[in-house]
Amino acid sequence: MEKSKFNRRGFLKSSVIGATGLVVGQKALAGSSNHLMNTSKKSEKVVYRTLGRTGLKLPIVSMGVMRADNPNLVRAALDKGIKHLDTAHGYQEGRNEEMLGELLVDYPRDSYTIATKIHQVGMDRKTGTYSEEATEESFMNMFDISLQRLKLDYVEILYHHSLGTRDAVLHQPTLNAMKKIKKSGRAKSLGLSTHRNEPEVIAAAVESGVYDVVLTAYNFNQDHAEKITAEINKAAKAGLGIIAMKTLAGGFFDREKQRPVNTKAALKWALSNPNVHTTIPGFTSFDHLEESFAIMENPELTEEEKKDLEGGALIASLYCDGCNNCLEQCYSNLPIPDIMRAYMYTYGYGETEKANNLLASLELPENPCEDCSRCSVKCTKRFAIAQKIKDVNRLRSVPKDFLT
Amino acid sequence: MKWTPNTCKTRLLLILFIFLSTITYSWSSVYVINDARSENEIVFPEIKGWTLIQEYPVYYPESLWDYINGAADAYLSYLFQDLHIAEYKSKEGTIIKAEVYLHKSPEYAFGIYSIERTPEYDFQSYGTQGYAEESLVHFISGKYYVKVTTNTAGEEIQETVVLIANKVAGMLGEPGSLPELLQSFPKEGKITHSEKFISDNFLGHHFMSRVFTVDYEDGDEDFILFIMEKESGEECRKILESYYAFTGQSEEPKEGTHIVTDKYNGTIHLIWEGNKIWGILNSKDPGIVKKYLDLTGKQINH
Repeated sequence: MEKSKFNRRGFLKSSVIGATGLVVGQKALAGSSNHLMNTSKKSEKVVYRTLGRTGLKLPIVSMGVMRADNPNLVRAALDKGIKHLDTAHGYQEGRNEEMLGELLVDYPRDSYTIATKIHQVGMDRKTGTYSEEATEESFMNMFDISLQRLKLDYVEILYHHSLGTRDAVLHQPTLNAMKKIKKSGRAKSLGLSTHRNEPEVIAAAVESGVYDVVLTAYNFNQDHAEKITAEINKAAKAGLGIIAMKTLAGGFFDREKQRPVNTKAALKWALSNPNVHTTIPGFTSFDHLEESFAIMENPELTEEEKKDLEGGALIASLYCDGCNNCLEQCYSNLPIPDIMRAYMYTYGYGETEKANNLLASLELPENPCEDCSRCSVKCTKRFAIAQKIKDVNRLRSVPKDFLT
Repeated sequence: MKWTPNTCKTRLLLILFIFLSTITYSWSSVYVINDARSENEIVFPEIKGWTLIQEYPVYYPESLWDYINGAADAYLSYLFQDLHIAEYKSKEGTIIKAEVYLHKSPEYAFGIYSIERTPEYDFQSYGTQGYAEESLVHFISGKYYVKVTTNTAGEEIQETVVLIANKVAGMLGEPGSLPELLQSFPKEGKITHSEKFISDNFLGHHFMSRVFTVDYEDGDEDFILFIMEKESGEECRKILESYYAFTGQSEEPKEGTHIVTDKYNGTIHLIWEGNKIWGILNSKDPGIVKKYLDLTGKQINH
């Protein structure tokens, strides 16, 4: 007979695995260094904002706990004054929650706040809507497992994870489960997380009247950052707490990872909106921790940091994703991604010699677009392909002495 | 220009030319990525009585967040390359999903797999190493990390999960073996299936990367041994130099035994020899520390 895997037996089995996994998998690192952590200073400046109607006062920098291989990093963060930890049911197949459960037993329950996220089953990732697999039971059972791994009676925030449509936000069985969990006291507040179609999702969160917190992707490099800002402001006005994630926009401006994002500037950009109450950068090293924490000493964006972000964003806006859809569309069979790369070298990096060498290697006709009166290519990044080709092609007639 | 079969041929030839010419284009890292993409064709096996559905796109580093959200960060740090997904649907509507993650090397595939498993799982012979639990089979095979999962429980469903896992494992070819450096850990006291590979920021320090660890028990002591192998002894020297700079210790790094007082991670005993550094974490018993550092050294030099 078939049944949901989230039954009592499955729950108990997962719990036993989780509990024993804690003992063997994490015990050595987790148990070693309380005394060392306690020797750290707590004199650094901490800036707090209130997370909407939850009333939680949180430092503007919190911790996204993405990896479980060094619990001492979490200890260091807590010791420095970072109070809020963000994890998820699915991170590292549950090992992340287990690691936190193992180390948090050493801390008074009122010394930290914690959020976890449940990705409801049965989501059609193409449409962003749920199938019949998504039930109250499936959501509640995953949350039970999360609490068991965390060794906690409650979490401060329980998120409905990774939503991209209004329908998913308002999915009734999930909302019913969340309301029951909150009523039982096992989650003090409810939230949702989103990193696509954010404006629609945030608006639906307000509409629902159920969610207290929105965790949204929010960074200087999003094409639709203004729309997200508008919805964040409306949600905050309605009393919701706002937490920003993906603030570093992937950490690099380019796929080759040669142009790193100024992480301080990126975090400050998100926090420059006073309706963003905290952020959750994912620390994996003590350097990251120190750098992010230093933001609280001076949260204002400096002119230099603004320039860094603007310059980087310019490069990102010039960056061809390399989807190659254009190759099929171009009647003249031009290697458009390569030409766009030459364009980026020229107008983004100012490396005209490199761009010219690339163009020369492509053996393009003198006037690449002369066969077409109108460009047939619809670029997924909405580049005006013909114009960009025309612009960068001028480089080929520039004497080499003038190139940089 | 009108669309004709000839222009189609010309276009295909041109695309092929561009593809081949870019392979030799040494500084064109964008195309290095594209080459890897075109080579990684995954053909999912058919399963009798189940409909194979392949509607998911192939996910790449820049799009993995769209599929697994924040969990993607860990995968990216283990040099994730791409992800192919297939679903198998029964007449009753049960869905089993097969996910095939490609990483840059077998070492990195092992790494992400190792930080997601616990030693208590039911390990069986799938690929290089793998385990089965209710409604899932996870395993690695060479550069691949495979997850076959379902939201529906039941014996027959589990049998199909296992069948799909075995067929996918067969499709991926020779599984190879676990990373060789794992053989250098002493057998005594070792907790089976606790081996891990940490890709970067080992112990939270940016200067320590690509580290193998294994959990141990000896009497009442629980501790961890670690080994890192570098290209040269000079790299090891730089690591220790950075570590001493971090701790404020003034010693000049030399080959031999080191005791590092790390304010975050406690006292770390380690040995640098040639292009390898190995050490022990979390043991307070000097006898245990000496015994296991010696055992590891012997095993490494075996």
